[in-house]
Amino acid sequence: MRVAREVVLAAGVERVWATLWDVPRMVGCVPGCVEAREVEPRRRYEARMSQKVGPIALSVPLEIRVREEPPGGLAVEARGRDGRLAAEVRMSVRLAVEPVGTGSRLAVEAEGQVLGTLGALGAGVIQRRAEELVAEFAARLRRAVEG
Amino acid sequence: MLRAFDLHRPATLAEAGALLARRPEAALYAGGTELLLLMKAGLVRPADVIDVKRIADLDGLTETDGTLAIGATVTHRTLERSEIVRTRWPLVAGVATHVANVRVRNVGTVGGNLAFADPHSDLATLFLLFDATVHLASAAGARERPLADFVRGPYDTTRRPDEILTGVRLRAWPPRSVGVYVKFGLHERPTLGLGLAVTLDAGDRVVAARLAVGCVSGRPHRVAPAERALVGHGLGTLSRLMDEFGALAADAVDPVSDVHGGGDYKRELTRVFARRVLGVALARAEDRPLAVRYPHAVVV
Repeated sequence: MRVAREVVLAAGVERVWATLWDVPRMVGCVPGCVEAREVEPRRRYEARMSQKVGPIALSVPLEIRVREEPPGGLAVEARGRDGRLAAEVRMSVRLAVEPVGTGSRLAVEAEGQVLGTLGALGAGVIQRRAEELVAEFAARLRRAVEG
Repeated sequence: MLRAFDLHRPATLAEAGALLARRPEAALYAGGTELLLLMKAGLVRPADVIDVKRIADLDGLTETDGTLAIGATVTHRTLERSEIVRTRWPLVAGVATHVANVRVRNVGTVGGNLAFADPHSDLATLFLLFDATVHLASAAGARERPLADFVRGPYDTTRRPDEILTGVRLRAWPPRSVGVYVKFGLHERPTLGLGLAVTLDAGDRVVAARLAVGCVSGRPHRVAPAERALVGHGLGTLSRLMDEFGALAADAVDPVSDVHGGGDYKRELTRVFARRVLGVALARAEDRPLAVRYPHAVVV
């Protein structure tokens, strides 16, 4: 699964970063994400991601690590396992923010895998859901930084 | 292995509605051909399972004033063998004959098929050709939705958790209509389903066309631009529209890449089979025998 999306925001780069690093506000931007907490500031976080596709409900406790902070960007890795469904989730997300006029442009690149029976059954569905999640993330982030 | 659950067997819709209102997380069970696979794989673990097969009046199959009412617990096999369906709705009976395998057809239900909304399935695509409406009931009352709005995406419908799908209604085509349904696939579940219905006037001009594409996008859908392209043409000029028709169908899909094939492949498949269904419909409209065979495809 791979999703890339760009969104132009009517808010400066600093304001966008401030929102991205603000855990409760960030959680509010990720659909299905609950119970996030900071383990080590700017390095490690924990969160739970819940998704429902038809009759199948997935709930994964995620360990999130900030791998890199290149200039103007952020690379994050997340892993977790839903024990009930024996499904393992691995994700890497790259964010880049650059100034555009008085606002900024955010680029999101997400790559991920769902392993186990669920992954085998629903590859097409998972790709579609990932696209929806990234689009919804961009929309919520826009409201958070512009509102 | 199946994990323990409480089985409920309501005898009436009211009982079932009351049960679901109390336990909206319960799984509805009819034929079990989809649900049991998920339960055995451990992907769905309902604490409560509500068997809807004993509910009176959910297994009706009647035709009134050009409308075929199919109860939710009518099996594919019943549809396939029904005298009314075979004589008056041959396309429906024909497609039912080719659903999965006979064991699935014997227990799998029309309602279960629609409510599960597996994108790799035939009925929802086929029923779009008949302007189908889906009927739902809950403790709060009954409502109906056009099938086109009912299926929202893969395994996703607008059925609320407290609702039971009670049946589906199909509207007959006007006189002088011909229809065709083609499914293609190497697996048991189809990779592509395409249905076309064309209605002609007394002068053999197309007055209405319906094209439905399933399995390729996340949900089955009609293709209005391709339908419009046929309207107004006589039988003589339709054969010259094949490429345009195929291209319009291919442009309209939003293919999902999965084990059935990549997105580009599915788009091309749509183009090729849209041309083919038009060819078959044309032959049927001209009452011409057509001896084509497409590998790995079923033409109904």
